[in-house]
Amino acid sequence: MKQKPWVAWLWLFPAGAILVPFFVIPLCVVLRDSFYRDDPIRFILPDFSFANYLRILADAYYLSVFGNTLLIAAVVSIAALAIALPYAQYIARTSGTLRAVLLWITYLPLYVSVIMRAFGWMIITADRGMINSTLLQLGLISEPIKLLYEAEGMTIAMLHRYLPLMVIPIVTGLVKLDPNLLKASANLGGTWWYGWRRITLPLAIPGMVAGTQLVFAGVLSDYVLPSLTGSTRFPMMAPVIFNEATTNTAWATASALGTIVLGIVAIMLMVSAIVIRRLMPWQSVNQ
Amino acid sequence: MSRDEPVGEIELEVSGVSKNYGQVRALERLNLSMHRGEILALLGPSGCGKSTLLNMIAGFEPIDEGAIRLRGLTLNEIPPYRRDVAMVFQSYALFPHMTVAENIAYGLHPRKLDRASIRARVGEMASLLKLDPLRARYPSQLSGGQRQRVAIARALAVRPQMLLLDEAFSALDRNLREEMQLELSLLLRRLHLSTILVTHDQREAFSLADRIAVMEAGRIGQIGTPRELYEKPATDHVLRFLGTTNAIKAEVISRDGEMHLKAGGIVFKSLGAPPPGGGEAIVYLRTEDIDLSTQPTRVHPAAPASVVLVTFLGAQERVVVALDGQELLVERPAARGGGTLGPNQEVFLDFQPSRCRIAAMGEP
Repeated sequence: MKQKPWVAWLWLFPAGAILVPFFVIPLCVVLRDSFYRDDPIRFILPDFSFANYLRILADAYYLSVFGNTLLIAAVVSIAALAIALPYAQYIARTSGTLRAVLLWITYLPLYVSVIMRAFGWMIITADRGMINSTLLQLGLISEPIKLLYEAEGMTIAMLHRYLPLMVIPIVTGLVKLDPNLLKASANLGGTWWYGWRRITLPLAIPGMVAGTQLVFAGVLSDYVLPSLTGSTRFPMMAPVIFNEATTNTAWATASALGTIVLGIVAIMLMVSAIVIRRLMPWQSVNQ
Repeated sequence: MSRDEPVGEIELEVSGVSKNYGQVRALERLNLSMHRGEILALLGPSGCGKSTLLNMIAGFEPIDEGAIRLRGLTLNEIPPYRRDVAMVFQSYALFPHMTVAENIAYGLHPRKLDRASIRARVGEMASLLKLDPLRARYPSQLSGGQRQRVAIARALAVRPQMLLLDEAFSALDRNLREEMQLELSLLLRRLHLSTILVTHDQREAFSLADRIAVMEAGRIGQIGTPRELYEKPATDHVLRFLGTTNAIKAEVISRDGEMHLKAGGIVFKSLGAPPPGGGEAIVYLRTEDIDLSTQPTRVHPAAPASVVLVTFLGAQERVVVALDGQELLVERPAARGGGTLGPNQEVFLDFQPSRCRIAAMGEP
């Protein structure tokens, strides 16, 4: 059946009907406002300038916020990779009910509201919470370790929130891995480790890159967990932007901060595209 | 001369090997030996145990019972990566993220070859299998035949003591398959490399192997040269598996010390000494062992059969003959009398009585 070329564009209509008015246009507004000037009385003045950006990038406080956020995003991504890769490898080896159960356990955190989970972590990581009271009773520590309202506790909660987004793409990649490839590796004299390093790991990279992108971008823009489990002594990006926009009514500054975060995500996606092309030249060929 | 026993130095010895999958017995105390440089085919239908045996030799399946020895070394407890047997997989199992050259070199790194030797060996294999211009390509950029060449090059690159081919030609179309079989046959003989190939394709076994082991339900039904198996099949299964064979239901009649077969209204006469007993039987007769004549013959003197269909196949023609309710397939050279037969024509069968194999009804 022949279709007129423009008919195919109709498939984009439902997505476009939501995205254009509620995402693309507001984004353009934010971008525009980031070049305006905050005014204590008249809220925002349409004086086009780069002043907000220059002020933010010269301000030690904002730079430390970017640093904190990127650090946590990197730590959570690496920790998620370290946990997800062996776990995904195990899932990929299973089949039937066991695999379904393991995948369900993986998805489970996504079904629970992030607020509920944050409260859960608060109970566990509090000074008199489960971790500290256990360690105290065992006599391993004499004073509670500060976890809640510190970067450490927030990192654990973030890891819990974003781990499924790392596991699922890696599982998807490893399930497609032909078991005959590993047999061929052994047959050609490769030990288990050699086969893992030269077959399993390289073929898992696309999933690892996709997972890292999701986790990294998620941590970068997370508002709930830094607000509930983090510390004001270790400020994170999203709550800072929120504060600027609400408490400080500095809408232009908040817009500029948001645009910078968007830029960081864009740079990260470009870097990972380059990494993919360098590490996996076969990818562009196989498509 | 029978070649049941291999000549020369023994390369591989399989003694009393059994394999169970739960209640299913995949291999039943199997014995087999082959000499160095020999090409042996394991031929049989799916589920006969041929792939199980191959996987046991490669080390992918544990050996429940018995022993497999390669050049005197018992393989049972040796892990796959330390066995010196290289396998060409049915799917080729090429590494999709490696170029042709990297695929070929895969087995050389664990063997601790230096860079120069690896490069030399890859070059040698690439030219041996005519892959030189494709060395920088990825498997997804290759045709089926080229992929098979890479799989063979990758296996040969490690200079194995033995090569295993697991249905290695089944993914190729017919013309390419026969071309590759001929090429590989010549290559293996030149390298004097002991090879086991697993196949369900009789033509593949015939065109490559020195000896064929026809397998059935976890046992070897018969082992011998292609000619021996073809001319003197030991069992009905071997007969039916090699070539195209007619199975005719007939009644065995003994008269005057001679056997006659009655299929419907048609009687084949004077077929030599009768077997003990009589009654209903199945007569196996290969398609190319039958000739057709417009004149009565010694074995078919009266009541002619009739031609149903003549198919021209180039060098041969295939004739379907109606034999009073049963259909019979005849293959004969097309040049001789080609075009002289047509549908509904009356014909008489001619065949050497010694080419018939008679099995009592109910026998498998």
